[in-house]
Amino acid sequence: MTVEAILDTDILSEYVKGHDAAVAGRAAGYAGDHGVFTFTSVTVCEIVYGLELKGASRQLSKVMAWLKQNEEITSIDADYLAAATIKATARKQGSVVELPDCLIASIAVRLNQPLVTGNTEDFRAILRTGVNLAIENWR
Amino acid sequence: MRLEGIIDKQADMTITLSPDQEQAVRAAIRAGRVASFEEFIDRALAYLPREDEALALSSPAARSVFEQGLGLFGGPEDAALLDEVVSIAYEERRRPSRRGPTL
Repeated sequence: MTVEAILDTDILSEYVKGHDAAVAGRAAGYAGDHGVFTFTSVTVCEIVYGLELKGASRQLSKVMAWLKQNEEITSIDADYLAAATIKATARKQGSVVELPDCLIASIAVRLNQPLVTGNTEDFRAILRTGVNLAIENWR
Repeated sequence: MRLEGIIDKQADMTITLSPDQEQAVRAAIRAGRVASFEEFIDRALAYLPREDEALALSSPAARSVFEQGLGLFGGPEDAALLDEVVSIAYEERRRPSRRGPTL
């Protein structure tokens, strides 16, 4: 049985492309256990932003219809506070981490769920702040 | 209308059609679309999904969220578009703040 997890934008994207057998296999196992996927409103925002920027209205409708069948976690005030602490701690340590990564990490920590991302390098600075974040990579 | 046909070799089955159904069967025969009631039944049965298809259609897992999503952007154009979207997103995430740390 897999544990519930937060999928980051790159992994969700890889799964809907269906080109990466490793990601598809891990996603199949996860879906078998949990039925739907969980991601943050940051990911939804990034997907909408990118498709809007490219003027891809047809693809935007298509992906939104699918995303809505899954579980989107919206940031709450505590996530913003935690994200601010992460960002400040990282900066004191000499690293610049931006709000999206900090918010995603804060949500994952609050829900006590691992973050599934292929973007492990960017989250390394967040891990160095001492935050209790578990990271998985399905690639 | 009462029509009798041998459904299987073990037992006959009597089918009672409603007036609308009877009218549809008679109209199909009259129009030459089928030659007989038996052919009408054969054609109707051919339209039914096979047992495995029916099972697949009735199963919630058949068109699960997973299956709907996997390959949703699998075409070359959509996949390339999504790669760009992720690239834009991660570029934004990595964009350094305009002011450096002044600590």
